[in-house]
Amino acid sequence: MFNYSASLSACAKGDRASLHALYQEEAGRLIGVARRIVRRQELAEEVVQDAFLQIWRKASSFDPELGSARSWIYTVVRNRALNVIRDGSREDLLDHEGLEKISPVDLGIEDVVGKLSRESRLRRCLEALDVQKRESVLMSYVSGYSHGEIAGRLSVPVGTAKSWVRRGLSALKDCMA
Amino acid sequence: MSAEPTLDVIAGEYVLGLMSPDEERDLEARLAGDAALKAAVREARERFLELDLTTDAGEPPAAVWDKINAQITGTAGTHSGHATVVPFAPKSASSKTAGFWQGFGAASLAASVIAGVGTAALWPTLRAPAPTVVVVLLDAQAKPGAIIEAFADDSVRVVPLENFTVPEGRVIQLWTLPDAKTGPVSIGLLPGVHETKLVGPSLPKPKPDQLYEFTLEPAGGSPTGKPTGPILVKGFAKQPI
Repeated sequence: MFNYSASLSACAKGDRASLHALYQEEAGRLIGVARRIVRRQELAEEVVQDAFLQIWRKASSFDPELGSARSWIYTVVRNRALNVIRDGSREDLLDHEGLEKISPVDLGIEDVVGKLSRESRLRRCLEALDVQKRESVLMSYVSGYSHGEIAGRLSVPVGTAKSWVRRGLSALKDCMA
Repeated sequence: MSAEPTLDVIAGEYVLGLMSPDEERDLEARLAGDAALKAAVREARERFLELDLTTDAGEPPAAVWDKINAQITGTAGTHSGHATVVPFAPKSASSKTAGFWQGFGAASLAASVIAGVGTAALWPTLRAPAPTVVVVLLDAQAKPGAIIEAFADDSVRVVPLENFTVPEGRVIQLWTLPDAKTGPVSIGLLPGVHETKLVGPSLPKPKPDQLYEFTLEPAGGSPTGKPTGPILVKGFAKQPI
């Protein structure tokens, strides 16, 4: 079992072998997470490259009260990816490369739920949600959609999308408690 | 739905990334003194992490690691103290090493852009701040060999003025001495003899008279985390007027 917390401590002390081990262990999955948001492989690799520089520089600021070391690493990657798409709009990304280069994964948000283990409580709770609430939460977390983008995709006013996300979050919390 | 969202909903929106930059800043300011909010953020992060872990592990690309490795730095340590200065070779003599650097060209350019900003579109905001200090690095004959601009965010712009000869299997490493107690700290490896942006470890803001130097080190950087090779050039920081 990889020790993420020990890895961050070692990085904070300047141990570059630890960063390399973390890269070997986790970067494949992290690139996958970034790709769900930025859609393009080369952009996802840039996101993860930049995220590892941040992990290296900011490892000492990791706060276990805000989550596990592993979740912190994923948070750094997600935030980089979100910055990329919010800076250049998603439409720009589409225009430059053409649709055929875009990973189809975003079009199958429900597939992500199917990849959760059968015993997963999160899976059971997501499946128990109304479809609009489930899709709103997943579009946001998995694909990095904003309230406006969720509203556009589901053809509802922004206020409705916002309320679906909130009710989804609330129902998930209750279900998992 | 009630008008006031619960702590869990607020934490959830934060973790989902749905907050505006202002809302995020406000929440992060609140976090430090609010244990219940911290717990809610922690719970939400752990809850949704499971979705991230459904991506396929796959072998990560070695080329991406190479770029990361070129940008990161070794640990702080004490100065070796007996480094010597090697003279610059004339430009023509460096042609033998040109091939060695050519492979690095495109990768290092990409790496420096990523290290600084993440996307090209962010350049204007990050290029805007003025450097905290500027350093002219001199060789043993007091000839200028490079200029460095060091910024408050730990980034450094390096502009070589001499075509340094770098033997195969060696690399130029940039060091600074934040204070005598800390000893020399690596800012990074030069990916080639051309203008580069490096991002060093988190250090106090660069100060006037702070020492910066290039040393010649084995490929991959000094194995000890402190300078081991000869000093090529060095200089003391000046604050722009």
